[in-house]
Amino acid sequence: MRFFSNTLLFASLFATLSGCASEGPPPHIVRVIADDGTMALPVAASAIEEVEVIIVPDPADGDFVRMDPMMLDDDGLVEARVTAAGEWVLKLSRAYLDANADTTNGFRIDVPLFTNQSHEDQVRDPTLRVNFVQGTERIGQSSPRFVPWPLVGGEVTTVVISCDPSFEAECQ
Amino acid sequence: MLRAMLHDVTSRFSRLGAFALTLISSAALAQPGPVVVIPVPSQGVTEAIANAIMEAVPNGLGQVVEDREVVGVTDPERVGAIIACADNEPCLGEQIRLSGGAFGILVSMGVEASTIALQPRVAGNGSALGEPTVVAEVTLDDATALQGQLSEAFATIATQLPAPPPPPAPTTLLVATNIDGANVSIDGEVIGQTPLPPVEVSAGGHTLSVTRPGFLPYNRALEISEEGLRTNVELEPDPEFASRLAEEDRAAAEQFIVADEESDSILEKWWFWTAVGVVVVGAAIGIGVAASGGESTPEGFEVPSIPLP
Repeated sequence: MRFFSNTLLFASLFATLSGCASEGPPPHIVRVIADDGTMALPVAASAIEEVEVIIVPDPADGDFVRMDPMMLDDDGLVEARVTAAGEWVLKLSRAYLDANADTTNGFRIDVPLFTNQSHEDQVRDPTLRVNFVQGTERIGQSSPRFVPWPLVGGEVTTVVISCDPSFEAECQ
Repeated sequence: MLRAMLHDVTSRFSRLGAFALTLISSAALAQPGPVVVIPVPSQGVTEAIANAIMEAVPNGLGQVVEDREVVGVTDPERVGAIIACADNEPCLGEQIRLSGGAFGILVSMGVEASTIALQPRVAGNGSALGEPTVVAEVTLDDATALQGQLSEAFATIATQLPAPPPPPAPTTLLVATNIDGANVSIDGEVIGQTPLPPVEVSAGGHTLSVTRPGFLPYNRALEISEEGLRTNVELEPDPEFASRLAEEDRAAAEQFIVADEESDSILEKWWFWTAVGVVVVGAAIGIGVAASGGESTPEGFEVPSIPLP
């Protein structure tokens, strides 16, 4: 027992010291939650094969610069691109969801985002949308939300996604 | 109908007296201002006199004086609201504004002196504009003559009123809700269901209402600047739904606790291994970041910057 305690204490101290020396600012969290039936039609965790996080600039501002699909992680589980319409799309694969989503009581995943945009740019808040994808179908999509821009580190934007009524069977 | 309504109101207050409120607006306004004539209590006016005024004033209006249009308000609710204002200036000013007028003219009557005073007031704050214009020796027993006297007085006032303030510039309101299909109303007018495109509104104060069956209604006063406003509305499930959810969470938690208490060994405690995991991961991240030279980049996925237009 004492061995475990000492080990924990030492490891905690080491982690704290080494972490504090170079800790970056916290990201903005987009918390994606599948509706459990509280809001509207539920979506089962097993029905979600991909999650798309989409950010759309205000029409009065410029679009994102066109970007071909690129992987944001070494394992090729997270893809980002900018569409021809100027929308930034982050696609989280099934494998990424399996590794990172909390499915103990429904479906929930925190998507950490950050931007290096300057506050002095005075860009209007863009719109955020999140889709649940199964195969080629969007079985659930959030209502468009506004996210503070530049993204505020440490803050959480919660998005609850209900099943699209036309895909009720697929959401089970 | 207006005449009948006014007569009814006049009769009710005839023992006390009468005065009339008239709105006058500029033709330069996008929405010409209406006119309303309302008798309310004042001292010593007989029913005959009140009726004479009511006969004369409406007939003397509905005209263009110089470049200013004078029209009437026939909405009984608006008439009642103005009566209810009494001497409350902000209340009067708001009613003048809601009636579409840039100015209002308060028409009050002195009985024994046979005079009628016309006091211009500004829409919005209802403050008095200059000294009242007094029409002396009014001929209360001759409706046609009274009409002429009042028309002349209105013409005089109309030419003296300053240019009305420009109407608020149109701007846009964007409403986003946490769930689609919510009904959005602005100032009581249904706009549509979310998701909604930008809605054109005038700058200034508005009331936003968002409703959806199964959710608590959302009502909020908005102050919209000329730059427009974008707002997120978080609809919350009504208590019946919330209590059901809480009950399910409680049941799940109890089930979890029962399962946890069945084991006594620390090595079988979930929190022990969670703590070990957290420490190990934290140490690994710390070592990794320290080894990389301490770059202060947030953990997460980078969203590119939005180019300026």
